[in-house]
Amino acid sequence: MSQTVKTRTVSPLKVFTTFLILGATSIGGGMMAHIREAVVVREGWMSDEEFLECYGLCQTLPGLNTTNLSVLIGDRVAGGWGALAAMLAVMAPGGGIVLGLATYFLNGPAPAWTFAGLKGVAAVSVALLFTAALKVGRKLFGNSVDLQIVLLTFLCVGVFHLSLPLTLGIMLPVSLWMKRPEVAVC
Amino acid sequence: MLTLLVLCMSFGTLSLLAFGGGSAMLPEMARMCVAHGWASGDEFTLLYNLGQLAPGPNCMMVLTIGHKVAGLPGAAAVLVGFFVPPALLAYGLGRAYRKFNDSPNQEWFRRSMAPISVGLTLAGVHLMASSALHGAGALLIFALALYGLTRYQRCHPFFMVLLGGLLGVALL
Repeated sequence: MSQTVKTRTVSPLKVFTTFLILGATSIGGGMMAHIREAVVVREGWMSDEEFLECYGLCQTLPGLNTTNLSVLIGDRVAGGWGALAAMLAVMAPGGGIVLGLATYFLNGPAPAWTFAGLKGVAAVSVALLFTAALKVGRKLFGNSVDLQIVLLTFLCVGVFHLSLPLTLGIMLPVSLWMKRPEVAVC
Repeated sequence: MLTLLVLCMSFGTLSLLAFGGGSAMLPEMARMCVAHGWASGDEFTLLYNLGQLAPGPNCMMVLTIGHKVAGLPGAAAVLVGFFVPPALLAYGLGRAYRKFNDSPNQEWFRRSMAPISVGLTLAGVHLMASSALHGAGALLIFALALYGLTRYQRCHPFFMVLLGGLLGVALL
């Protein structure tokens, strides 16, 4: 598994434009697939294995998976400046658009139909979030240990309204213990 | 100035606790915003849904909270607080990882974190649903979206978001 640190010759500017396009065109989730397509298939900056290694690392780190992944890939292909370029570029288009939308909705008297439209969007958002949770959860719900941890976590936050630090403080040790390697083989 | 510092610190703390991606920390973010008086529950839902209309990472809507509280400097404070700490961590650990690759422990942590993330995300679903699914129209759109998303998985999710918006204009 150990890999020599390769030095690559992609310019930070090229990283910036690639991630700027990604940031502007991936909408409504599924950004990981877009990033893989661009970085592995189109540009050929890294192998699939290397991409999955970065992706796996992102899942153990706090923060947004997409920005973390951008930082890791930017760093691997173009060093520190590449990491900075990738992160700024991936956020810029969405950040600008969302600020514009918020200014419009919170400052002016927006017409009533736009709010009705947003309520429709809200209903779809709940469905999106729910299916995303189920997609990840499907593999876990069959395992009673995993299911218990899912339910306990839900109870902590959804029912008892415990804060996130407190919930993690309780659930992480519990989960690490319940899934300690010698017990949970699967 | 103090407000900017509080925004930056609060979102910074949140970002470092955000295991399991953006949706897992929604309940905590909503709680934090209401507690500080930065947004009411309904305003938070509105901003979250505006975020669904924008491309890129799914939590860019955090900027709008900073913007609402303190204008562009507020948005900048949130940007720095929310995105810089995890990015630095990813940068540092990404480099360390290439030297010391301890996959068994990482694997153990990932397997332990996965069910917690799902539980947190489901709590986020519960929270968003309690503020978004009022009335028969909204419930109908939710049911249609759920059906569409599970039945037509090849269909792009943004198409559903647009369709939901149009149905909302027609029905709500």
